[in-house]
Amino acid sequence: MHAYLARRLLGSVVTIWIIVSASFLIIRLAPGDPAQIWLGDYATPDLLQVTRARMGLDRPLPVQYLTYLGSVMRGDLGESLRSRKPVAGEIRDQLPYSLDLMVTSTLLSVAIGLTAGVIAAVKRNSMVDVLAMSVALFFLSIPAFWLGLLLFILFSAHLEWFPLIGAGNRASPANLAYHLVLPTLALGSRIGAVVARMTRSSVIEALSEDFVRPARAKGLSEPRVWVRHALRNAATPILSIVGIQVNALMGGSAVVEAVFSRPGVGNLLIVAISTRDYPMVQGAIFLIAVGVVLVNLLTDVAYGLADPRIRYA
Amino acid sequence: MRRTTVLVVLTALLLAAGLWSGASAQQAGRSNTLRFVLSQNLVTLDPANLGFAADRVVAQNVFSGLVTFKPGTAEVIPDLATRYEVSPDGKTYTFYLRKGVKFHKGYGELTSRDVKFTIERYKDRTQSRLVADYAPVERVETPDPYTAVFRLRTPFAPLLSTLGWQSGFIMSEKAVRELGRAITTNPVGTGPYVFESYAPGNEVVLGANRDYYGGGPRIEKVVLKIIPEEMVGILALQRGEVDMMPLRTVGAWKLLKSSPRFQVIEVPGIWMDYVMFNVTRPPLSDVRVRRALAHAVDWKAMEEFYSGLAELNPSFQPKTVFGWTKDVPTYPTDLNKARALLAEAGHAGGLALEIQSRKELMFDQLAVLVKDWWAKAGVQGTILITDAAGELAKINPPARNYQVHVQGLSRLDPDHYYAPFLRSDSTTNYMGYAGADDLIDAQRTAPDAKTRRQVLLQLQRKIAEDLPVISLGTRKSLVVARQGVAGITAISYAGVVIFRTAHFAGN
Amino acid sequence: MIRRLLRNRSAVVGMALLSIPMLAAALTPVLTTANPYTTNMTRQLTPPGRQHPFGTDQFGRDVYSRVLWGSRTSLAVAAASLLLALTSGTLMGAAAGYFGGMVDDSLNRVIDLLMAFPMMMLAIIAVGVLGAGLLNVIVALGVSMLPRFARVVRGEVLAIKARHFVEAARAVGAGEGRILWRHILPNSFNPLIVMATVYMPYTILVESSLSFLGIGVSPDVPTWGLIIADGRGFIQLAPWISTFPGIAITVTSMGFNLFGDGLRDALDPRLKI
Repeated sequence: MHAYLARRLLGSVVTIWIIVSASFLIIRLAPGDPAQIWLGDYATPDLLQVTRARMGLDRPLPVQYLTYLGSVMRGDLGESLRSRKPVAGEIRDQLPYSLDLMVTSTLLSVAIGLTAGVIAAVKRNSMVDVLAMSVALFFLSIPAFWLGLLLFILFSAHLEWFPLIGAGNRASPANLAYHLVLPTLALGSRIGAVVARMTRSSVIEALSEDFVRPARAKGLSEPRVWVRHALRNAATPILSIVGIQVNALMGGSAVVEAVFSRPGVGNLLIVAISTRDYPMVQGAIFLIAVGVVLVNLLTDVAYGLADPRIRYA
Repeated sequence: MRRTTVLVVLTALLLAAGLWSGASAQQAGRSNTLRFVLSQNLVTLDPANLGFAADRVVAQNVFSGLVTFKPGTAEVIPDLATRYEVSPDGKTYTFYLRKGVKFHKGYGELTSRDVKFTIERYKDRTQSRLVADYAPVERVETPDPYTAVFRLRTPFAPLLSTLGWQSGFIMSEKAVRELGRAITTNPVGTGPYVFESYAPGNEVVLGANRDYYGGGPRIEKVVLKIIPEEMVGILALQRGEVDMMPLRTVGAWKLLKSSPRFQVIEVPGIWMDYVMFNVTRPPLSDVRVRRALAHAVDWKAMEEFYSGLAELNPSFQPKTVFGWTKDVPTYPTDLNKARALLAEAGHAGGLALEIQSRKELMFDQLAVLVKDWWAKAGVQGTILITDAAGELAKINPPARNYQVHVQGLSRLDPDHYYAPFLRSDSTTNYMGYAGADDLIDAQRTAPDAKTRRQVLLQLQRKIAEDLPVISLGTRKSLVVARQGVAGITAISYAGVVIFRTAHFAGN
Repeated sequence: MIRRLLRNRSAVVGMALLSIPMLAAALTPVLTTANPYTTNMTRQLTPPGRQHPFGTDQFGRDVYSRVLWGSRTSLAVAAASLLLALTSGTLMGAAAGYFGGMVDDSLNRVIDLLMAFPMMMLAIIAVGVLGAGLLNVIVALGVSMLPRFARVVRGEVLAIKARHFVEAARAVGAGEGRILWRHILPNSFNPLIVMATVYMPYTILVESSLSFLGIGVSPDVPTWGLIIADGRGFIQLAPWISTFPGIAITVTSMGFNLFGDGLRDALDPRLKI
């Protein structure tokens, strides 16, 4: 296990290094000169030159790259070309909003998805099953931004149950939750649907396997059978799907942030790309990459805990 | 299974608690607070780099300049300077400063040293974007703490409007030296409001400056809510979560202009909508083609699209700005004439053009309209969308890798329209036009207003005749507020409001 | 196989749902009379009625014909990007799985790199770099799905390579390319088809999200996401603009999801995507 973890960690570091390098290159391939964008209509040849130097863009690309790599290794993500403030700080300001949304979406969708999936599996082909799976299909199919828009118009604008703007007061968890309800529904419903479908099919498969019958024969009550045996055996595929979906969440959050006018890293990245704020783009991509690599790592480790049959070779 | 249930119950409880606390939060605390909508995050509040829309709203209320504009016009009036004198040769400006003006946050009294420091900072290319604005200013002298004398190399007619609007906000030398780079999000000015806090993506908070020399504002606190999506802002306004917001698009304007619950404050604007041509390459280097395209514009439909949000304007500059005339060559809608002109230019079989645009400020919508109208005259347009950065990379001289481009501009002095965009040697002459350098220079160095107006008339006619750009219209500056907010002062720069005069009715 | 598919309830319902957008796309010129591009400012924001079944938008364009023409663009973009991902992903995965060693290692790095981004983020970044436009959106979507296909193909190839018939083919002297082409790829066909079906609705969703964020296709080209985005500013004045394309996306992706379920059951029940 330890050796496996060490190897995985090393692999993750390499992946992150590649991503840092790729993001450095890719954003520079996009047409547009940050100095010129900053100066806009005020640009003169002389000012352009001074501004490029100030932004460090006058140095040869390899030098820029090595400097950047060096500072990343020291934990310094550089300074925004526009606000001239540290990138790490700007991201830190926005990160909690994104994390809030992602955590609530994951929790809620997994909780509801699991419950619905298990119930649907156990009561297979009943009305409950058909209903649950139809709802899941609907949420799987509706675009998050349109769902968000509908929720927003219905619950915020017409019924006035939920707030329209802002991300809430960080000092008050209740207020925070109040602001998170609709964005969570918009973002989490898709994952909830995926988890429900996956849970249902995995549990059905597990219930049909041979070892469930002896458990029943032993006189274990039905709920026990499901939880002890069926769900545990279904855990691996469910975990993997949750892992994949959490990654997808990071992408979806950008859209949901836009619909609900919420602050967050997705919004930060989109603005940074459109203004060619190189260090900011690199910083945000770096953060997302670290997040994804971490989630992948955790899912893999969780596999082992959930399913003792998996050996780390 | 049990754990799952617990989770579900917990989440439900949390949501319910949130619902309740949120509802109670609605009732509390908004006695004398005005809530306004800001369309984007702040970029920088450093006056030497000002120019981004949201920053303007904050800066206009936190800072003041030597002179300012009478709201809704381009007329310069005194502000920090109680009066000023211009020498007959137009090369010396003397400003007499108001005494006892205090900078915010205990940074002391404003003196001519701060004026000198600020102008020198504007001229410093390592600090400022606005270097070109102050190029003709050779130096600032400070004979005493309340007198600042500007010595110019050449006469420079736009100086006063530059000081009053384009930049010109006076900074505290002490604050800049002490705060350093932090001034970009912690500005120290002399304006009616003090900058209190900024939470990116959330809000900016301004507090009343009780020491304001023009009399303390009546609204205690102004909260600027950052809401990028206009539709969301409108819903927030309808629900009473904000009191006031700028109107930017046709959809919002149509929805709110006749609603009895709201008042729309309308001020003549300075925002121009243009269709720019790259005149350096065929087929658009041929003026007949450009004129044909102007004749192919459906002006009636244009007016219907604006539906009162903007007014048609045949000149390159807005009406509000000094020297405007409508007495310029115009191009009424005439598809036959358009076709004839195209045929004359050798494009009888039609023409294909690329229209560069971006999804911002209704530019893409204007592109859609223009493309559709031109199709009726046999011109097949293709709309290319990039972001602002990509667009700049394309239209920028000397490459000018585009044909047609939808663009907007918003300035208060005529020079700020002509010099950067139409002078042949300008880095931002996207059109590649080179036919009016002498006139542009003449209005800039005109010794008096009468001469300048005369030159500007000629300039406007010349541009409309050569047609490197079709002026579509001038957008109004519009602010919508709930009933009960009184004394709202909007200025011509769209979306900017002076909060000092506002108050709640019966308060 | 087709019979098995026809007996599958999901597949049948899915096909029924899918027939709506498919027919709409195929018969667009017959079903619509109004030009989806033509503006008419005197008719702007007309509510649904006899002349304009889905109403008109802020330019007076007929929303019905825009939604129908939009079915062509949206389905075509999704199909084209899937095809791109499918072919390039297959080549990459097959090469990695078959040749192993250095090839596998380096290709795997690329796959890992691409997988480290959420699809939507990757598409946002790619469109940001390439610029907007139909073709760029297709490339962006294709690139963002490529690693998923490559990974599956690689896995399949590894599994098949170990089986006897490959060794048999090699024993009779078949070349590497021939083995790959004739024996291995056909065997990984089923999971790929299922995957493509499953990803189809997701592609439509991502494409429309990009258009919605304002970084997708040109503003006059009708696509469902763009029409919804157009309607967002008029959600109170003219809710019909965004409603109809919203329904269109939802129905289409429901159809693909159901059909995909059925296809998986029929073709490759062990596949988990």
